Amino acid sequence: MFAKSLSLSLMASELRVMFTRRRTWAMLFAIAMIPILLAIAVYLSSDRLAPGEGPPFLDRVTQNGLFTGFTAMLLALPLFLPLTISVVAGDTIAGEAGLGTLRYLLIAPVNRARLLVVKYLGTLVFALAGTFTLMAAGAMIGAILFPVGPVTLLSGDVIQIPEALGRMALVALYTTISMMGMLALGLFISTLTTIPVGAMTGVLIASGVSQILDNLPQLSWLHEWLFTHYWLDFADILRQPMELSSFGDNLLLQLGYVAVFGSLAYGRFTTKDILS
Amino acid sequence: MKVSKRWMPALVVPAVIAAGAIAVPLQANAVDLPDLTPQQVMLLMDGEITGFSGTIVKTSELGLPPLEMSSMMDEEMIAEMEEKMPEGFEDFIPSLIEQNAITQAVELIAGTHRIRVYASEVGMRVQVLDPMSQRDFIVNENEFWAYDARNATALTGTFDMEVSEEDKAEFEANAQAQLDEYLAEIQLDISNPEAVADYLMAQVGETTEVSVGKDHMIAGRTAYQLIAQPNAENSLVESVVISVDSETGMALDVKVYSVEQETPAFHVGFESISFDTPDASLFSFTPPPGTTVETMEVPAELEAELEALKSEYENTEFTNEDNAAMRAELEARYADTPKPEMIGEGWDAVIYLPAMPQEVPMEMMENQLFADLMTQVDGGKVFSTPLLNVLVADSGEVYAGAVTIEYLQEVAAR
Repeated sequence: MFAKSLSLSLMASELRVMFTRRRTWAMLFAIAMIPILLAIAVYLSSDRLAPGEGPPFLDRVTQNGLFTGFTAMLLALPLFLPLTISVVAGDTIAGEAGLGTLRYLLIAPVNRARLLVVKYLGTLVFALAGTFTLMAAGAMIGAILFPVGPVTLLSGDVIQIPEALGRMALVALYTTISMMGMLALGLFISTLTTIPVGAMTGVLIASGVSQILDNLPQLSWLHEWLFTHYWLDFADILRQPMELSSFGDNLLLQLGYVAVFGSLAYGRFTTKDILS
Repeated sequence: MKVSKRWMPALVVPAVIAAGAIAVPLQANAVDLPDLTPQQVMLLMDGEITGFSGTIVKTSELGLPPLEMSSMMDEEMIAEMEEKMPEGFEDFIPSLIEQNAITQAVELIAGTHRIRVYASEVGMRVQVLDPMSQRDFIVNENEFWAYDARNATALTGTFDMEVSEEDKAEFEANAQAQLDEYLAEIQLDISNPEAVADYLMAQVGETTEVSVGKDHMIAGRTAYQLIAQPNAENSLVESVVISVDSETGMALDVKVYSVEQETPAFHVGFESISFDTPDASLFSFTPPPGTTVETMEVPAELEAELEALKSEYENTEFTNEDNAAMRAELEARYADTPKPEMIGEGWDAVIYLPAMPQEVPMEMMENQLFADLMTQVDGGKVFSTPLLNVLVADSGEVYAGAVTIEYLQEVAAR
């Protein structure tokens, strides 16, 4: 009972610390700027893209503002979103250690495993906030600059605005799930070092390497094991009927990463001497 | 050194995942169905299916480079090909190139695709799930649609289903009579399914070894495995393996193995399938706003011409002499076009062309891309894939078949 309320208060304080940090807000602001800059650039450019021209989805933005969120997600997934995720994930333990606050945290009667779980859930909440910020900012700027109406799905079916908003939320949720494995990897790397920047870089490099490997046809046997493999399959939510198999495959894969790196982080964090 | 038990999860979790990754496919093979002979499996395949929906995955490893056909041809070549096309088809090549239909066709054969299929008695819908895009093909009782989300284009057409009952009955009676005649000729009792299966086996048996493989799970269903192995030593096809659903008899998976590689050269199979009849609304399509819709229509002139022809020959009974005369005329007209010939039959049949068709400009053969695709061998150049070899002899003759290069050279030397 005591332990439970303690975990809850630990969770609450973790979230409070995270969302009172200026860095968190700066990153959420930067995430929101992706669709905003994208929409403004498309709005100001004089020539309209013909259907099929340019990167996928970009030509649809001018026809329907609601597509801005999807297009921005597509642009943010390879680098920008992983970048913010790696900052948050790499900071979890290494950041506290670097600031010298980790031992004070552990003075309280909190077992280390519980602290790991709280730290992990905190980063997950950030990922959720980030993806929803991106979609919401996209929908808003799109609605301001471009006409808004029923959304055409990839199968040629047309859905009304409320359903479209539902699908946007699903895409944000899908992307949050996509980040779970990377967050767990970050948590583990973060237990290895007391230098947060090192951990952040490590996670970001891992995401880059994973994406490159995913593009090498010679390694096709490896692809379905890479944590970035299903990232772009959020497009399956834009089909009619919705293709849910990638949702399930992605979730299973990410949970696998969470189990592996979570247990590694547990092994490392509960056996190491906390000196700072 | 003693390892703390706190590291245990880190050791156990990957082990569990690895065990799962190995055990799940193994479990798929732990199926035991009542034993059937190849004949019985073939009979099973005759089952009737009223509707299904499923996801198909298609992979092919033909060693083909990704092709961008249009980039291989310059304006001059296109103009030249245009000239060589028969009258009325001048636009054919440019439009093919513009729509990249050739590239698309090659791409559909060559790459890996996930395809969703919905079928019922009222229509069929095929969705090619491209990354960030989709192609839909819809056929229902009176129209068809092809929609490409990538460039928001749609192609549509309607069929005239105005066949009078009388014509239909006559057609069916004719077909039945011909079938009966044929069956009488080969002395086959079609009402006896086993006789039919035995007949089919005897037909393929001369050229092909057919056997039943291991029962297994595929797309969540139990299936028999039918294995066909060519009895031809020169064939490139090692075997064709078909998974047959034990309940409905539907072919769920087809793999074509080449003698040249261990992984299937071509593989198409269901990843998931349901035999519930899909919702009828899937088979109707309204192009979304902003779509460029192209309607395919039979040109009015052609229709008029057909009508004229029809009325002209309405009451003429064709005699054998008429037919012979017509054939002679056609042959004379196309005398200078190289005629393909079949050499041999069955698995190691070779198609022979005395020369490259005139429609193919020779410059194309000298194109760098083609040069990269062809390898020089004794007596000519070879375009080689695991399932097909094409030999362009130095004399300009062309030999093609699902046979080894050596066999093609041997045939060419005859």
